[in-house]
Amino acid sequence: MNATTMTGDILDFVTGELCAIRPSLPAGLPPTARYTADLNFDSLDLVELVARIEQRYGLKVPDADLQQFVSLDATLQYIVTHIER
Amino acid sequence: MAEVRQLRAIASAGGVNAVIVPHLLLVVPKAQVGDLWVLLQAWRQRGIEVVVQTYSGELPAAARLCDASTGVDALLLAGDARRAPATVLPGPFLTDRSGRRIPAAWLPLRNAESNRRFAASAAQVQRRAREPHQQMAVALLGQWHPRYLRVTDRIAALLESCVRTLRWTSDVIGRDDMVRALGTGLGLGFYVGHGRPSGWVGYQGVRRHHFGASHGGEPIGALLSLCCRTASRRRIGLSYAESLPLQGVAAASFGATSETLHTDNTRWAIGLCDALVAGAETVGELIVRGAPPSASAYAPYRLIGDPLAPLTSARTAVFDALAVTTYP
Repeated sequence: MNATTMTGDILDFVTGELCAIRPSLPAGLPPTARYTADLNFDSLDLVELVARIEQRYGLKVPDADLQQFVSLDATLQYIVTHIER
Repeated sequence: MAEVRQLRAIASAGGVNAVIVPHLLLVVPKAQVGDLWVLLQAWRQRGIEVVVQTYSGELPAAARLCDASTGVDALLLAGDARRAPATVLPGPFLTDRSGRRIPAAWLPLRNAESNRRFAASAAQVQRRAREPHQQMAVALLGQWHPRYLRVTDRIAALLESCVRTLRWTSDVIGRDDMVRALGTGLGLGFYVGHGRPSGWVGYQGVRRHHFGASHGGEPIGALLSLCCRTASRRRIGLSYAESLPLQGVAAASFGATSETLHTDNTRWAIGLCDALVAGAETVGELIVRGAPPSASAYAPYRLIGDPLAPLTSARTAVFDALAVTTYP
């Protein structure tokens, strides 16, 4: 699987999970959308998102890293970086 | 994570139903086997193969239990109640040589009366799974605090399509009514909030004595406390999580032996909901499937009581539970 496909798959997955957590979110979220400021996510939403990512990609996200999950872009970056590790 | 073996009948390629027989390893002091006889019978009547391994003197070490657990589907380790849950098992499951996780439960043995009371209520819950028209329903319990009410809301939403939930959080029901409601005999209950070795902080404090010396209602199948320390022995002779099965309140309980993080408990809640929706039928299966990936999240927890406690409710439990009055 090439990097572009992988990134696309991850984007689709994360976007899907965001919408599952908040069904009222519009389709076609911009990658720069910030979870708290733009999407009105709270800490519980964020933990659920991270839990879903952990389940899907076999990652273990320490609590200290939660602050990196600020937007769709940043989330993608984190997952790609940690999968490659 | 190693695959959890399904404890259900499957159809073989030849079209003949092949039954996977669950195997339980019961490790118990020789002198107390008789106290658990009623439960042994109930397990066997359900087709569970029970291997009884007796011991004298010291409790077998966890490493030896891991070796002995290869090929079994659940372990129940019974021993002197002076031992603390934190020291007898390394977590709510063991990992066998093939990497498979096996739910592992602890049973503190205090005296014949307490042992037999546990066995009777656990057997009662086992027999429910043999009844027709089984129903799954979950009691949602929680401390009156926005954070925990929010988690409860989310659990209810995750289970909405598949599992009936009864919301009995502290904002809608008082302690005494909640205790009575747990006696309707539902299959499963979750508590979210703060916890202590002596009990829950929610409902203005729930202690074992609130359930009475002998719980008069139907036992709940399994009661899971997603909070700190309800299985801790700090400054207490018997933790709250241990007292629930011994008092006949639940066939199994689940609690932490130390402090826990809210983020980890949230991960537990999400994982447990996923496991329920995926069809987990026993508390052991629920725990193994629902556990978060990090050891820091699951290692503090212990399963107490019957690891194969079915999650089905008593025959009239849902009807009775729906009749419980809550504040509007």
